[in-house]
Amino acid sequence: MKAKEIQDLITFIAESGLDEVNIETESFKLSVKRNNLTFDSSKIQPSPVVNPVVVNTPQVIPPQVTTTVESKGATSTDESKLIAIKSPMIGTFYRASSPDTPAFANVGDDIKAGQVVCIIEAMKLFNEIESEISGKIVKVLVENASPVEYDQPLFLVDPS
Amino acid sequence: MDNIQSNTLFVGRNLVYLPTCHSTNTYAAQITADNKVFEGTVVLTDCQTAGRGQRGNGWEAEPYQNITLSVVFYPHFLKAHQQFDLNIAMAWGIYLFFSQHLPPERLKIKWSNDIFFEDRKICGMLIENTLKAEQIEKSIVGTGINVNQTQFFYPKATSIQMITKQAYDLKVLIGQLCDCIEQSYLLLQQGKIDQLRTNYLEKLYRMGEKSFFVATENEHYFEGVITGITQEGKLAIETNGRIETFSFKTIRFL
Repeated sequence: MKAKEIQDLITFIAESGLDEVNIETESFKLSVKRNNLTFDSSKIQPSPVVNPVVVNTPQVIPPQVTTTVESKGATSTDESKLIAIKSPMIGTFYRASSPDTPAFANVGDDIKAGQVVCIIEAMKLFNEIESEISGKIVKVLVENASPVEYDQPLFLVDPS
Repeated sequence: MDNIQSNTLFVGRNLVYLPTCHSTNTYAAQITADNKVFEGTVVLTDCQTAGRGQRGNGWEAEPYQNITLSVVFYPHFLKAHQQFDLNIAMAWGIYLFFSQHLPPERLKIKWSNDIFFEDRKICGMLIENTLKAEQIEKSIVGTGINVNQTQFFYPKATSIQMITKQAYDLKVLIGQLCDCIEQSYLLLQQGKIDQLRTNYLEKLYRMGEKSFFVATENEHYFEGVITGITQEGKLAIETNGRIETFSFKTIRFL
C-alpha cells in the first residue's frame, strides 16, 4: 500500500465518525483510534484527533501519515457518518456466491437492510451476511477469499 | 412425489417437489428470500442438474436414482459462532438414517459432514446459513444421498444399493430421512449438544487411528491420530507428541 493511499484512508476514517478501525492484510496492519469521542456541535471547529497510528509495513512511511487529520469543520459530522458492516464470525470472506457469479455488493451500490452483501465460510458452512443498514457502499475493506476475524469491518456504508 | 411417509412434527410436512431443478439449495434460498415458508419445508427433486457441493464443486446424482433434497430451518437459538453444532446435529441425523439400512459399525461420519461406508462416500451435505448480525436467521441444509445409482464418475463413491444389492423405494427412504433429521434437530434445540457431540465423535472417521494426512498449505505429509474436534469444528490431530488443529481445506486425508 502506498503512503498516499494510507493517508487517504486515514482521512477517510477520520471523517467517517468511527471511533476505532483495524485493518489487516497480508502486507500491513493498520490501527486507527480516535481520542476525542464526543462531537460537540456548538463548537465552531471540532478537531477530532486521530492517533495513534500503527503501521506495520516494510515500506518507508513519510511523516505525513502520523500528522493529525483536521476535520473540515462543522459540516463534516453530518456528511460523513459512515457505518461499518462487521464480520459476525471468524472465517473466509467471499464477495460472491461462487467463483463465476458477480459480487453481491460493489462500491457505489445502494444496499437495503436485509440485503446479502457477502459470504463467510467456516468449516464448510456457508453464511450469507445480511446488512443491518441501508445506504451506499463506499468501500470494501477486505480482499475476496481472505480470512476475517470476529468483528472485523468488511464494508463501509454511507447511510444517508 | 407429492407426499412422503413420515411421522414428523415439521420436517417434510410442507413438501415442495420439483421434477427437475438446478439445485435444491438454490431453490430453497429463493422461496425463503422474501417471505418465510414453514420451518421444516423440504425442497425435493428427482433430477438435480447443477447440484452444488462445497464452493466451486458439484454434486453428481443420476436422475430418479438418488435422494437430493434441502430442508429449511430457522435455528434462532444458535449464534453464528455455534454453527458447527448444527453441522454436528445434521451429520448425526443422517448417520441415524443410514444405520437403519447398513451395518452401523462400518458407517462413519467423515469430518466435517460426509457419510462414509468404510472408505467410500455415500452422502454429502451443503449447509448454507443466513446471518443477521450474530444470529442465525435461516439455515438451508442440502443433502445428496446415493441410493440406487450403481456407477459413479467419482471413484470413491458408493450407494446403498451397491452395498446391499437391493433396490429401494425413494419415497419410503425420504420419510425415514426426515424423521431422523428432525429427531437430531430437536435434540439440538433442547440444548443436548454434548450428547450429539459425543455421538458424532464416536462415529468420526479415523478417530483414534494412526493415519496419514497432507497439510495443503505446504503439501507436507505427516502421520498422526485424530483426537477430536474443537468447539468451532476444527479437526484436532496429534502428531509428533503435540496436538495441532486444522480448518476445513487446510488438510487432506490420505
